Amino acid sequence: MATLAACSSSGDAPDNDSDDIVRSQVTTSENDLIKRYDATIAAFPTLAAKLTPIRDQHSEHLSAVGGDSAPADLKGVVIPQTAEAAVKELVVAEREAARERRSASVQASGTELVWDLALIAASESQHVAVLTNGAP
Amino acid sequence: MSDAAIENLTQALNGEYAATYAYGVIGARTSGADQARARRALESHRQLRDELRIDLAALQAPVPPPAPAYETGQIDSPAQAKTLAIGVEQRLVRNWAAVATTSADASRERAVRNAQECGTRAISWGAASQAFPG
Repeated sequence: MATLAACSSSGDAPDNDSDDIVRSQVTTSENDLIKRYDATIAAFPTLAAKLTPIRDQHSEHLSAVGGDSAPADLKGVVIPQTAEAAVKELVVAEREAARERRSASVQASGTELVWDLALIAASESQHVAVLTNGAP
Repeated sequence: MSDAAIENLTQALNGEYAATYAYGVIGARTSGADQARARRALESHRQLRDELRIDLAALQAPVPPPAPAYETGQIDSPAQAKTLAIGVEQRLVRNWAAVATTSADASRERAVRNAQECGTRAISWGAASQAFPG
């Protein structure tokens, strides 16, 4: 986030700047998702086997957009009372993320960023399918 | 429209041809819910194939015909059919992501949506999710 205004002197700065904004938005969203998975796994350890691979895929998304991991502060993350309700909230979050990533891919200019965002969007749609046991 | 865009659309069309061929085989080797799933997938891929043919024609680019047959490997069992379906869908995620890189606005959004739907179908056939599908 701190690098947003740092590269305005090069010729194609407008694209770079707008791609930096896209990257920072994706970074925030992926960090939120990781935090939500960590809090859910902490509250319901029986979900760990199912949720940990997905959580780790979000870490890979974060790295791909060059985002820094936010400090793992799970305070303030409210997790539902039951495992079933907690998974439902993750489904809602993944569906939202998949839609946001699709929009972000349209905003992005750099070929590599568009490619990464298209695949991240597909990955997050897969998460919805995994969490709902295959039902779209 | 750039050569790269035409190239990516052509590759996606070849991927969709391969998918429609494969789902014919998959439908013949599955039954019940899986066969119904294969039929729905076949319908989706036919539609994508037709849209790509229209897109290429609109660009006055060559529209290649389908090959007489596509390599599927030996498909004798429902399990082999599912593995084939997963492979077909995962390759198409990459084809559609490539189309996204050489399109813009509504066309790019549609390409990404198609990548998402192919990725989701791979899960419905039993694939595990991937950070970068395909």
